[in-house]
Amino acid sequence: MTVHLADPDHNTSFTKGVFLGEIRESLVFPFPELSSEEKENLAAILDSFRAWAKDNVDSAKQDHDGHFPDNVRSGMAELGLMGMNIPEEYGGFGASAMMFNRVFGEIGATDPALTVYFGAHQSIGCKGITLFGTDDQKKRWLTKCASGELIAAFCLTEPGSGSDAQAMRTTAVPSADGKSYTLNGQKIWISNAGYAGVFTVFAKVPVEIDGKPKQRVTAFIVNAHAPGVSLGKIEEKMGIKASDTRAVTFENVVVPVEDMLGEVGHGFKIALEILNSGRLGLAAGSARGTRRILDIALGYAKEREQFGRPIGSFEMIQRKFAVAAAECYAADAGWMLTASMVDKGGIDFSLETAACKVFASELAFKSSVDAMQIAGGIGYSKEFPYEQAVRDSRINMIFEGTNEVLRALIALSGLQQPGEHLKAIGKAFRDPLHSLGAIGSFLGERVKRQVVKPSFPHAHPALKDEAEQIATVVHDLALGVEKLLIAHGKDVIEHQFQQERMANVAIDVYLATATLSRASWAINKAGGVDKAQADLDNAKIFIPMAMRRARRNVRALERNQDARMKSLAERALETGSLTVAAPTDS
Amino acid sequence: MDVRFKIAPSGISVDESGLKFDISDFDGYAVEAALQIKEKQADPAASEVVVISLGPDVVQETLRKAMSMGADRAVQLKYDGPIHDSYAIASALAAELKGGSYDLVMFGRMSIDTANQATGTIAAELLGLPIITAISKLDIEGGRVKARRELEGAYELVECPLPAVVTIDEGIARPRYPSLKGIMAAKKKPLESKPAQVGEERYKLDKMELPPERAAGRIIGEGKDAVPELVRLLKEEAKVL
Ligand SMILES: Cc1cc2nc3c(=O)[nH]c(=O)nc-3n(C[C@H](O)[C@H](O)[C@H](O)COP(=O)(O)OP(=O)(O)OC[C@H]3O[C@@H](n4cnc5c(N)ncnc54)[C@H](O)[C@@H]3O)c2cc1C
Ligand SMILES: Cc1cc2nc3c(=O)[nH]c(=O)nc-3n(C[C@H](O)[C@H](O)[C@H](O)COP(=O)(O)OP(=O)(O)OC[C@H]3O[C@@H](n4cnc5c(N)ncnc54)[C@H](O)[C@@H]3O)c2cc1C
Repeated sequence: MTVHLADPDHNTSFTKGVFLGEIRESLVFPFPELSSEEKENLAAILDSFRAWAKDNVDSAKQDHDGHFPDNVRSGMAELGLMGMNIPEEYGGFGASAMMFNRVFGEIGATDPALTVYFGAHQSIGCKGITLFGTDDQKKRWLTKCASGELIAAFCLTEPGSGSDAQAMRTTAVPSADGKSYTLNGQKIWISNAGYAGVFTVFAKVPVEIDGKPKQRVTAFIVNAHAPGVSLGKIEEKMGIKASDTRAVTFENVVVPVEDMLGEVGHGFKIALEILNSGRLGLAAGSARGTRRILDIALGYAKEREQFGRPIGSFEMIQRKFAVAAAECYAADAGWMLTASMVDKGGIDFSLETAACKVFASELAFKSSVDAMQIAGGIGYSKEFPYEQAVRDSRINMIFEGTNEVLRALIALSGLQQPGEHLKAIGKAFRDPLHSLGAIGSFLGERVKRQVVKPSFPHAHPALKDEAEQIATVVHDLALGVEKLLIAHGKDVIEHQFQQERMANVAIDVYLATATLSRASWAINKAGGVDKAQADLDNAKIFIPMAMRRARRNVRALERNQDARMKSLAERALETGSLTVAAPTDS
Repeated sequence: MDVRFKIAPSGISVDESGLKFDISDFDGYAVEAALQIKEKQADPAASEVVVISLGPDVVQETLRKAMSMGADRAVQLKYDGPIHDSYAIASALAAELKGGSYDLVMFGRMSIDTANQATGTIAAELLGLPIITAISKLDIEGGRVKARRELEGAYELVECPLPAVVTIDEGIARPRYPSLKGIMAAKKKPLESKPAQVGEERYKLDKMELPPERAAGRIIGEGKDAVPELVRLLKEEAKVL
């Protein structure tokens, strides 16, 4: 198995194409399929996991107790799941992104806290070693991670540095003999901290550039039991309660140079690459989790009678199911398509994993609230799974990049085409959230393409109208973006009302495209529209729904109330209150 | 997705569409017991666990699962038709086992679908080997099988020399869950498929039927005034009192 990076500086991206008004169809058609061998393997793994989980995992009890029983953690290791995406040569299973994320989803539908355990370990905890480690580092650390003997955790966030990872204060100072680094600082919100045997830690290393002292973010592999490492108390959380979250403090922790991951100054890029692929698990987990809680609600809606009939027969309830079905179809299509990009290599999937994470995390939260609503009073009771689903799904909008930050990432990266970073002198890597590189060539490339209306030649004819709708939005988005750039230039970095709109359009376009690709594949595979009616229905509901939203957002790039919105918000921020004087005030 | 249990149009077999096949529970215990015996040997690599199943190609999936649990190789005795007579099945298994160098042949006590409890016993007879049925605990010592059988409120300890046939009851060991490694290893293990030499069926299944649908409930009245009528109906119509 080869592991692939998004490598946004060099690889081609579907979503960046969208900002240019282009549809890079070969990146999204045909819809990926599993080989029969992969299918068999997957079926066997899912079977085994389900049988084990049925006998061992009690999600409600774990939520109540706030931890996993020991047999759950040992069982995950015995099944081999803790090494699922670690390469075979280091004792893992070497799963493709497609397999890994499908299993991630299954675990998510079983117990969201357990996916955080699973994901914090290998989606992010030891993923850096898989992606950037030397053979020696992999031998020393990964093999033990694969067996579950060592649990890994990812230490990026600090009290003063959450979304703004560059603001970190943790330092790693090289020893005089050059043999080690001394680590000092505090990380917070670290999932798996209490179990961890190894941490991937990001810290700033002092360097001298052109005679001036600077600090460069660098990644380290840190033995969790090294002297000077201490753990805070377990955080009490709203959801995913069984997941162990703590602060980790490093006080003069000595890290041998052999455990530096990558080079000095590469830490930020390493963190981004880890999260670029790690995020996809959250998307797959959210999509499956959504289906699970809605399946429970479906069962209830069939049984529960009011007004002499099952509540499922009322259209206000049916609408919730229909919309969620179409959105789940899209969310699944999205993560699967993106996983295939990760597996193919040579594709920048960073914006697509972000889009999938944003979309699916919001879907999971909204849908569990809907499921709760369908259940009525019992939805609010702790005896039923709905309220836990609401609590558990909420975290996905916050961690591995908040949805705001990911939207900014999508918008600002969309404005910077590959190659532009090379012009931004003195930057080892791009950091769209802090600065925008040159946007000149964005405009240049646009001019070349303006005349060509994009299209999807490979969409199934039955979905011609839907394909048209997406193509029109892509075309119009690029025009809108161009006007925006002409108006604001680089100052667009300050205009987040607009970034949010652009990102929302790009997210809807990507999910709609994935849906188009999936439904086209399903119709062809089934051998006709009449044999794939459910796929057609899902696509014909989701794509127009998403494109209506997108058109509204594109229009709002030009016509909006942003100035008034800003003054409302700023007035509130200044006064510390949302309200103005009302007749009932006293 | 829910699959409804349906009888096929033939009336003598189950509609298999949408069904997923798995190892019968008792066979699962037998596989686990076999693996544990192997693991207890001084040199586990010197002994071999072979799984055999008679049936159409879907049984290959089941055999693979047993290999993913740890069995070393598998044999499919290919047979596509419906088969109901335990004798016919046992004769095909015995034909395969005859002359093999097995020390112990392990069956589930019964299949969980037809529950005949006969195949293992008939096979032992056909092979001319001693058999202990429905055992819940098993040890191999000094070339002998030592087994425990659960009885109503008691148990008995029995033994016989190897080679022997045993049928396995529940409680012996919970089947392990295949690990990712086991699943991958199973892909590389040999699975031999050959035609089954099925004996003549002397037992014939005439017809399968689902229990009748329950009639809709009926409200007779409310409160204590309704009791006499309820009692009368229970006596005369339902005939349960
Ligand atoms: C249960 C849990 C588990 C976690 N596990 C880990 C872990 O294992 N490892 C780890 O390193 N971290 C972990 N985290 C930390 C998590 O990644 C951060 O909480 C997250 O990145 C947000 O950072 P913050 O909490 O400091 O919020 P802040 O960054 O302070 O954000 C506060 C709000 O401001 C918004 N905001 C911030 N910057 C911008 C911007 N530029 N534009 C628009 N809006 C902005 C955010 O979207 C958010 O709404 C975990 C957190 C939780 C709650
Ligand atoms: C914390 C709490 C406190 C409460 N306190 C009180 C109290 O003090 N006194 C009291 O009497 N009750 C109380 N209730 C009960 C509450 O009013 C009911 O839960 C509520 O009326 C819904 O009824 P239900 O739970 O039976 O849901 P159902 O009526 O079964 O509804 C289930 C779902 O079906 C939908 N539905 C039902 N009928 C239709 C229709 N015709 N068309 C479309 N959709 C439909 C509902 O909107 C809901 O989404 C309380 C409930 C809770 C959770």
